[in-house]
Amino acid sequence: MSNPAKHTQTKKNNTKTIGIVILILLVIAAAVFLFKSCSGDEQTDKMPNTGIVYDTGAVEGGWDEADLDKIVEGLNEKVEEGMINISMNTSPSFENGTSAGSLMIVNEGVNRYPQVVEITRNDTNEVIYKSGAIPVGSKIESTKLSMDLDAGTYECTAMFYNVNPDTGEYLGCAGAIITVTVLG
Amino acid sequence: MKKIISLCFALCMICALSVSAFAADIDTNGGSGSTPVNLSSTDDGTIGGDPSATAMSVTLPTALPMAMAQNGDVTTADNCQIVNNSYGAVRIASVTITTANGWKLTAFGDKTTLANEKVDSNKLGFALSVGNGTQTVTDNSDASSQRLISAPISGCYMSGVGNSASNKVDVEYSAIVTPLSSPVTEATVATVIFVVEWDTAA
Repeated sequence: MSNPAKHTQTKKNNTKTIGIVILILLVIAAAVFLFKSCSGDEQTDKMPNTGIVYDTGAVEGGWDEADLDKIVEGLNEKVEEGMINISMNTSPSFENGTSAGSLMIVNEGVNRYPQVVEITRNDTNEVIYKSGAIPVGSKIESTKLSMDLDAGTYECTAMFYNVNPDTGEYLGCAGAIITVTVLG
Repeated sequence: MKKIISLCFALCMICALSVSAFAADIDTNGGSGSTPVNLSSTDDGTIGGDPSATAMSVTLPTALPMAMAQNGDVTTADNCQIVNNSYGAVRIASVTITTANGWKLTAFGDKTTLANEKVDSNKLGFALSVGNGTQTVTDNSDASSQRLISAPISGCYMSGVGNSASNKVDVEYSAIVTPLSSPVTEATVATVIFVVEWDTAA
């Protein structure tokens, strides 16, 4: 024979246990919801609210602003690469218009590129001499002008061109005022 | 013994003749003579070498790079110098800027002066100063080539290499550039040419 009082007590205990379990599950669900709300992907959360689909590739920030010092450093390297040393006799003399004279053009060893030198009369802008490419560490001591000049003194400009050794392209230039003398 | 005496006489005669050859003949009390001091400048420094003037040797920049940011700010290098390695003093005779690849010169100023320019109008305003001297700038006079320095001005003078404090001058430059619709990389927009000369007394 079963005891009705004992049965009622057991039923009460089961109901209590189920209630506790449900309460625990509710607490866990609330905790999970709160955790997701605080640390979850906001963009994902916003999607259903606003209807905007945010690009997952978007990152925080604006236009890139490079370090000014680094920019200047890079530019300074370009200046260094382009420096040219020009060296020559600034008063070459020739016995006559067709004889060789002491131009003494030196492409100093400190240079990076072969040089081409072009001499132009300042009064007429005529080119009276143009060298071929002079290798670094080499010189042209004595040579003829490409124009038969009359006896006299001529103010000229000697332009020194840096030349790309692979392509022959002129990379930059600088010049010097010189005086060419033809004696007779 | 006779040989030694003969040698002594011979030496005496040589010395006596040599003196008469180089010295002025002064035969009065208080008289004077002149001795020429001759100079020959030659390529190898010898008295018999080929006549030659002092060699010029100067290091100059051939590249003045610029970098433009997306907001139009232009940055330039800050290590640009001209160094005189010659024994003699030199000066900058001229500086010329010439545009390249379809670019045009315009007046230099604040970049806001280009606010009304069309994008890709390819205009460049350029400013340069040498040796902390006067800044020279491009204007609207010629779109293709302009003389920034046409004769030596303050800041253009360099001593000989013997004075390491004044044988070099700094070159400072800046620019404004019209906006670009497409990026460019190391595009040559202009060339600046420095020409030097002896800093003569005349």
